Amino acid sequence: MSEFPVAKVARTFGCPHHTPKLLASFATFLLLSVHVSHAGEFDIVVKDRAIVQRCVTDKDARNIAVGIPGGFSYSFDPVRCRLAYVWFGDFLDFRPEATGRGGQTVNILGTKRFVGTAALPLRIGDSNREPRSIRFTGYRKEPATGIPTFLFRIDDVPIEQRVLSFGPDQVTIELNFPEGNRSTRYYHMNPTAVESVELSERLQLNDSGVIEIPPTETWAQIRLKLKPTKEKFVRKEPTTNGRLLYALHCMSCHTLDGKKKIGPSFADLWTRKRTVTRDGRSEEVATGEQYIRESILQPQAAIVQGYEKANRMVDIRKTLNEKQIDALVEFLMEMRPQD
Amino acid sequence: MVIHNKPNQTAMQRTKCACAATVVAILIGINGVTVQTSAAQEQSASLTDILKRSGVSELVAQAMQKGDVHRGKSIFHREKLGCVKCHVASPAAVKKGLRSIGPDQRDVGDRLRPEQIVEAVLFPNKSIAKGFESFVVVTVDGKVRKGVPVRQSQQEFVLLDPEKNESVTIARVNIEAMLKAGSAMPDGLANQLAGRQEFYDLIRYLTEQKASLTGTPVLADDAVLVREVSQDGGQLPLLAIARPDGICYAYNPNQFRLEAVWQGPLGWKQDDGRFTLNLAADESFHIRDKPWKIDVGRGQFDFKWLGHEVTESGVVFRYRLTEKPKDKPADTARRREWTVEESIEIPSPLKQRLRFRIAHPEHSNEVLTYWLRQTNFRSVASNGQQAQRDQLEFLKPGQSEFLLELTRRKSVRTVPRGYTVSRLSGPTPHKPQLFEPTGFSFADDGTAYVSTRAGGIWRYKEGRWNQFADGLQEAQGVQVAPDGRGVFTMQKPELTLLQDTDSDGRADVYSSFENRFRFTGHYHEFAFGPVMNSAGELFFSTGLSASGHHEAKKSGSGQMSSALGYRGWVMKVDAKGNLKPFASGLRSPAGIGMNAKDELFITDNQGDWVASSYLGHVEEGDFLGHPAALWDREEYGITPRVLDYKTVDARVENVPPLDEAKFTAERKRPAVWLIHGDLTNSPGSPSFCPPQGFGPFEGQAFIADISHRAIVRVALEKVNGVYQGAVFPFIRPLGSASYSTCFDPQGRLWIGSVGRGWTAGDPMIEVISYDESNPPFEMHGIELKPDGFDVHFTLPLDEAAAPTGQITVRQFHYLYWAEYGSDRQDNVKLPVKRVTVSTDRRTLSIRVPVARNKVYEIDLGALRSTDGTELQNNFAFYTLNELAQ
Repeated sequence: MSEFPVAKVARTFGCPHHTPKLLASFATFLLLSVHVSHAGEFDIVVKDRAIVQRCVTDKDARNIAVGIPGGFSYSFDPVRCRLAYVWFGDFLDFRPEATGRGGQTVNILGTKRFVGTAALPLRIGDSNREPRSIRFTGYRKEPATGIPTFLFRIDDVPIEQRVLSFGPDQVTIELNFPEGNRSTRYYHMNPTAVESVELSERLQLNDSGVIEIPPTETWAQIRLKLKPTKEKFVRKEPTTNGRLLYALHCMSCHTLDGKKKIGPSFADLWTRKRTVTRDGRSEEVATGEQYIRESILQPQAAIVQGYEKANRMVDIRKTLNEKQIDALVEFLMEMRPQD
Repeated sequence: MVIHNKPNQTAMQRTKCACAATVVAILIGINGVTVQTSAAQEQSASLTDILKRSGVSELVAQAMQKGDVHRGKSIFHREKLGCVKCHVASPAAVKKGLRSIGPDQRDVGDRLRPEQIVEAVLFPNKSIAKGFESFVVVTVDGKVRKGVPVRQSQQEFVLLDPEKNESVTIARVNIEAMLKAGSAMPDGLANQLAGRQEFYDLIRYLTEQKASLTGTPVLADDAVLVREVSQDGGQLPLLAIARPDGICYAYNPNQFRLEAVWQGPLGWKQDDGRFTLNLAADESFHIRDKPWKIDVGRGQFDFKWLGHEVTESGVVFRYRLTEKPKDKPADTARRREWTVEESIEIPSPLKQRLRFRIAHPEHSNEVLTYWLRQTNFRSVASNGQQAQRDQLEFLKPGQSEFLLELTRRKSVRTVPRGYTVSRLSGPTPHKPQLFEPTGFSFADDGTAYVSTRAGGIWRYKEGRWNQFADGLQEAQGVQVAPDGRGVFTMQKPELTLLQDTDSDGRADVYSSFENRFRFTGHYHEFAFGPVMNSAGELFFSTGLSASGHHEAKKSGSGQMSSALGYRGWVMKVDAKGNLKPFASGLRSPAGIGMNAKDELFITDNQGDWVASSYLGHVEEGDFLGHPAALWDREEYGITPRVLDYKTVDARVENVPPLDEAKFTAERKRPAVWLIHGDLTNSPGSPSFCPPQGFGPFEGQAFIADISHRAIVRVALEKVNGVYQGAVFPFIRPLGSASYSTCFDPQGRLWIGSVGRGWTAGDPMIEVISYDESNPPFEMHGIELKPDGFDVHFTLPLDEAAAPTGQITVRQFHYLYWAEYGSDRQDNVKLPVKRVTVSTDRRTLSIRVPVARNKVYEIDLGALRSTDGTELQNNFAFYTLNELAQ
């Protein structure tokens, strides 16, 4: 831990009452820089108030998601009473909770950034001793902004923690010790994700890379500058690329070039008519969109002659949504030569 | 500064929204109706809103009282309103064989109940009559058309544009894209009326538009009469059959099943030759669509309709079942066929015999199964084998004659006299927030607090809603703290105390009041409650996991299990905040409630080790039946007495075996079985009737059921120190998947319905109120006697009631086992020795032999009170744990 590579900069941020101002400047910054994406039907969108949403977002089922106006979000771990991770972008896609039986893992709309603090970051009195007791007691929401302050006790010392961000890749952890304390408090860093750290007055980063909060202080601010990430967030949405859908779901049985596989080739579709067996009777059908759609949705309704004994086609509706089926139909229609 | 930035942001968003709106208008507003309506809405924005606020049942009551049919008729025909344009087929259209654009006005009173008519006018998009949804169609030549399909066939599609009143025929092959566009009926139509009175007149007129009032009844004279009633969408016509004895039925050849049975005319014939089916009797008949399957659903059939034939004895329906090919291509080589002849005998409107003659293929050794729906037969008997739990009837291999006898329960729509169900308009939060009420609590000042599944607590006071808390994780209950300390709510991971410290109407402190129990994140790990006793002690319950978290489970398959750490428990938190594991053995305990004597009750849902849903009385140390919770007990040394979730690993590789004989002996039996299938499938919380405000049922439990959309009532009695008693049907059906219940300070019963689940509609709140001047005629309770039961009534019985012969008592029990649910065991009809009526005519004594640990189904048949009221809820189930001394 002696080669902790962060710049050791101590700076004064003033008292906590000034924070809203800083927050505002960050909000302005984000307004100009954050790409506004189109919200999904079940997205929880953070507007002018912060949102705290309890839902399962990962294997630590009790983690609490927080969305701050301006595109900064984080996950608070109430079991270990620590900041678990942050993300920049949109907040949550709530569909897994709001539909069906609910209670499924909710999607966070950004890349998870672990912030470089230890699993049990805060120690009281002794930097090397893990806390004897950790107790989460809740959170308080600032009436005007909705921004939460998490409340917990470590070794029975009450602690209040607020997490904000004042710029890209920046995370600010504010700790408040309402009852004061007679011992030094230690905040453990894990340097892999942190580029530099800025500390409020009288806080020290010691040679082991641990932040020391002297007994005199009732308030501490730790600003982490995260190493920029190369990972780009891509919203997980089912693809509506028809060609891709064809490749994923159709190609193993249906060719585009007329070769016979398990099912009839789609090349056959480019003719205007084909002969099928419907209800045991032979019938000529026009191969328009209507027919293609029926073949996808009710593959057994009309079977191309010669394929009556072929393997049954799977019910694609269990795999693809309506938009995807539309895209697939569109792709198949496009493949048809224009006349 | 944050706030300073806000206007910019919203302005940006607003601009964006406006653009989006324009695009939508261009796409959808093809007929101009949309535009016209929104203008109208702005002019007189209020009437629709005012009416909506009144509540549907209130509007119906007013319309029936104040509405005038003749004025209503002239309003309906007022050109400005445009009703006629869509709901009366023009002579030109009739000539072409086209129907009206909207559902025909002339029999709306037959098709819809008055409440539905009000809803159809006020909320046209809420439920659109089948086949009357409008579409936007883009054709291959790029043209866009909108309208209602007035005729459909396999090849073409006739759309009628309500605005231009022209029909256009589009060949299906030319359709490029098709988009459902909701109801063609404009929203806010009521705004064009001059006032409330005109609305009442219109509704009154519409309720009286009944074919039965204008047509001649169609009856069978001396031979069976068959009429084919055309169906939408190219389906085969429904076969409506009238018999000379006045019983009618309908057979649906598209679904290969009996669809409805009723007494009275088959329908009505109008002067213009139009025939209207007697739809008032049209109720789902509880036989599944295409009911035949091979094995227990492992194989499927293709159904082929062969036709029907009228014979001397009735009508025979013929169809062919062809085995659907299985996965292996070889199987498709020979598809075997069964030919079925079905005939239907109807000894009474409630009793049907379905008689099948089946020609089997040569080599068949499969069992065929006939699938019924899950609810509401009084009895099912067949000459096949029977498995009541799955509602299947088995037909043995080679069996060529198969008789199925079904006895249905009488009218399933019951609301006891004096009770009124009205819907309370809830808030309409935007997605993904939904208003799915899961619990209620009332503050001293009458403010209602409502917890919702999507994580909010809402407050309702003096007709106004405001959101008190948000961001909660599937809140399943709410409890106002008595000392103004705040509001408790149960989230999946914790019991939370919400406080509004600055009195702005929104909670600002969310205190984690108790969280020392396991939560792994599995969706089924619900937590319910809290309820509070008079000492301020709180109780909550935790559900087990379904699959996926069986860390501590090795026996059997498909069982619920615990991740260890007080799942399947009732936990108690005392006034000082100390946590105590209170009782164990729960599975999916969706209901928790406390009566006026501080006695705690839970409901649990049917599954493994739970034969049927039940109401259980919970005392400290009880084990209620599901063994997964037992591993948390001290004797196994796995879970600390009070869990510190941080230090205990969720995964325990080896758990000791449980001694089944020991826990079976220890198990506390349910106070009352809620009779899965007959009365409940997924019950929620019991609420106990207050002394005033809800009629003569003080102290009795009222429980809502999600699947049945119904309320049941439980009257408990203590025999030998043990709670047991009877469950009665009370009100059904309600508006949606009813789940949460609570009595308000006036004694009205609030019902919350969720919008998800097997039979869910829209989530909603309904309030049931009671009019004291109009007392109900119900069984009040059933008292166990050494030699039978005394049934007490709320009103004296009619003098004519000497009902010995019509009362039936059946006895059965359930199995306690690891399988999912239990059939009724040893289900026998008991000899009723004697029935006597007390001198005050309020008690009926039924003398039958009784035994411990049995359930008794008591069916009273037709009874009337002295004022001539018929006993609608005329059956009950008594759970007998202890014999009367």
